[in-house]
Amino acid sequence: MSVFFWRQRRQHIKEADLSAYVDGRPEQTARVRIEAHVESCAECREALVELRALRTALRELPRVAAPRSFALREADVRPVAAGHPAGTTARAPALLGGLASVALVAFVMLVSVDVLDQPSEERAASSAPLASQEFGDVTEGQSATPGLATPDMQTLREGDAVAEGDDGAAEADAGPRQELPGALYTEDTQDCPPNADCPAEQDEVSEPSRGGKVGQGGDRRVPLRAGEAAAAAVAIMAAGSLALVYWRRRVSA
Amino acid sequence: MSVRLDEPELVERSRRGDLEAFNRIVVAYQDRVYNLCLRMLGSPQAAEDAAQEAFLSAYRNVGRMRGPNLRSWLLRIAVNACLDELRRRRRRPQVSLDAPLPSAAGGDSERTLDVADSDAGPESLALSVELSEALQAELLGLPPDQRLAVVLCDVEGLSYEEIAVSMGGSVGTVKSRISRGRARLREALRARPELFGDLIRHTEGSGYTGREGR
Repeated sequence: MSVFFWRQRRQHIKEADLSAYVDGRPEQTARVRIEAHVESCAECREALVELRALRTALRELPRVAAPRSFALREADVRPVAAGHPAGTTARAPALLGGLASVALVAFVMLVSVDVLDQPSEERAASSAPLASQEFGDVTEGQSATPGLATPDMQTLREGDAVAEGDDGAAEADAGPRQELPGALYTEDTQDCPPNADCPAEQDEVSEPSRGGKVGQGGDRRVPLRAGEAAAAAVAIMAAGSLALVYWRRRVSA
Repeated sequence: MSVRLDEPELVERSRRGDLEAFNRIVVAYQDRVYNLCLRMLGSPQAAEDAAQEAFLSAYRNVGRMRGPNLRSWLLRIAVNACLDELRRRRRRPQVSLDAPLPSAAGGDSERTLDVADSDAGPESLALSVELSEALQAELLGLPPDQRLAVVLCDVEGLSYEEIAVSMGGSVGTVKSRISRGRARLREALRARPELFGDLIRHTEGSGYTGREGR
């Protein structure tokens, strides 16, 4: 037992315990142990004296009067009262976040419906790359400005249609699909060669599909539809606004 | 303190948008808030900006204040303003040129020492200008969390519990930060016995009891 106490006395007190002791914050058992140890340990006694001196010095650091009054003026708080109103800034991010989510979900659903509407054999051939392309579009669109996103996406979709049309042709050996994208929508006009005799009819079919007309017969390449574009644009704008709100908050904080 | 008696009412009126009531709180606490900012940031100009920002933020958020301790709440807001300023300095390092350098801190301290503390009694230990400057410079050299804990404890005289509220965190964390901060300061001052020696002799001579409660 005496050996135990002897060892305890020999062991230096931890810095944190000495520091708390100086503040009058040790537990009762620690207080007894510290006081017993300090009596016989010059090193810890010196540390304790230094800590107390340091604490005293810090407390004695001269305090200054504020160089001016920090009282607020009406002008200081007016813009706050107008722009801050508890509710708006608190709810704005939530509203924008919700709007962005809803728009994104709507976009994905529209795209999914579009994909699922395809005849099964075509879907098997093209749905995977098509889906990945759709999501690729979403990602790209979000990083771009809304005004630029739509033309970009249209371009991509047209390119996609060309490339996949070629692939499909190679695999299935289907003659008509070797044609340009416009020809993909021309099932009703098979009797009319792609490149000529009935230009008016061809325009009638290809233009609407390019502009977003939904589900015409065997359509499987609808470049960009109004619903999808609108949902994507809303999602992008809401996400952008959300980012702006957070940024302004951070700056004002 | 008569202001303390009025605090709940002043807070309530401030919540209703009474700027005059809020400004009475500002006047009561501005010295304390400014000194905290000065110790944390080292530069009078930065301290002034942080203190102003803290009171503005307090006014905006007075509706969210919970609990009876206005002092801890205000100091917490001031702490946040200081930490924001320190973060800004980290993002824009050139701004920090006015703070943690010993020479700059010395300049600040000179200004600091122009005004004597009205609370300082005649029996209080008069720190030499050199020791004050050295301490302030060493304080500014501490990591922000340790500096804050030491300033709140030793300069502002807050209890561990109040510091935990002001900084956010547990009492154990506070204890640890204070201890580590003091250890670094002690090491730094040990290297300057010409300054620290007098202080230690004075402290020992003033009646060392081995403990000092609050």
